[in-house]
Amino acid sequence: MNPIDLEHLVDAELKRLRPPRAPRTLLPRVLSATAAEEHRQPAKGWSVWPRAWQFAGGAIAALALIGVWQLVSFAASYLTPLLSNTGFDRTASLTRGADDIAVVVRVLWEMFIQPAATYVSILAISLALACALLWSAVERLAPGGASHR
Amino acid sequence: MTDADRFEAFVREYQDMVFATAVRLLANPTEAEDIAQTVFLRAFERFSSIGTSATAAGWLKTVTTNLCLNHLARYRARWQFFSELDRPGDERYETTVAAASNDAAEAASRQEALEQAVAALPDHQRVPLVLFHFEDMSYKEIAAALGISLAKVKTDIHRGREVLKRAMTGVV
Repeated sequence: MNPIDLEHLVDAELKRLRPPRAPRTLLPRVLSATAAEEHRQPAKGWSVWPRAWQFAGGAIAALALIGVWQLVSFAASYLTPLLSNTGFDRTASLTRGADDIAVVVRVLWEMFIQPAATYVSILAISLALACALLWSAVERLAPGGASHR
Repeated sequence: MTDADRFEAFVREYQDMVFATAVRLLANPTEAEDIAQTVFLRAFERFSSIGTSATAAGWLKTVTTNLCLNHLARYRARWQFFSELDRPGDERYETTVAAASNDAAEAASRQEALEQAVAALPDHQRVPLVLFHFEDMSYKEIAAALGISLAKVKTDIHRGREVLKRAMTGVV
């Protein structure tokens, strides 16, 4: 029998089969599951985001913090002389104090953290990728999953 | 009529269709029931838009098919691997089909034998065959959905049909 005839024969026979009916247990199972779902307090916020979105959100938040910090330092350098000229000595000294702290933090960052940060982040990303690959491989090939039948 | 009543009516209307799709793809009633429950839970989450939609049946079929394929990929990842080793797997399953065929010939009709033969097919033959004949997917769509080559889809479906033909005619 050629493949086309075989296809038509099998198709006709398969279409003639009675469709399987859902077991009686399905409807009660679905209804109780939906009732439980309704009573469950829905989780909200960052914790229910997909993992990739969580990482992206964390990165954006970190960038925003760095940006705000840079902006404050930048603004302080302009505001300090301006405030001291207008007689706001107390405010000006506070701003100077904040500026000094920012300078110290920046020096510490540039001397100690920044040189290592690149290597540390590359290492962290590589480790995370390796773990993800390993986990995915274990999940796909783990024995037992295929033995339900 | 409350929302709960409407949802119950919705499940009653589509439960056979969803279960049939799942059980044909998985050939395992217990797993098919689990998948059907998950499908209806997803439908429940967006029931406000799906409940009255004319495309509800299509949506349910698509979700069922995708969940079944994910289930097969996740819990039966080895099926794709074994499908590459042609002969030994086929022989093993053809023995099962032959047994099913013989039993059915004694006890029941040709249709029953065919149903058993479909269920006894190895995953790598049954899944594309079911998608082609019951879900009306093209060879290309099946290849894309399963992540295998077009040639392999055609070969697997053809081999599956050969087995079914033997089961129907009672020739082993």
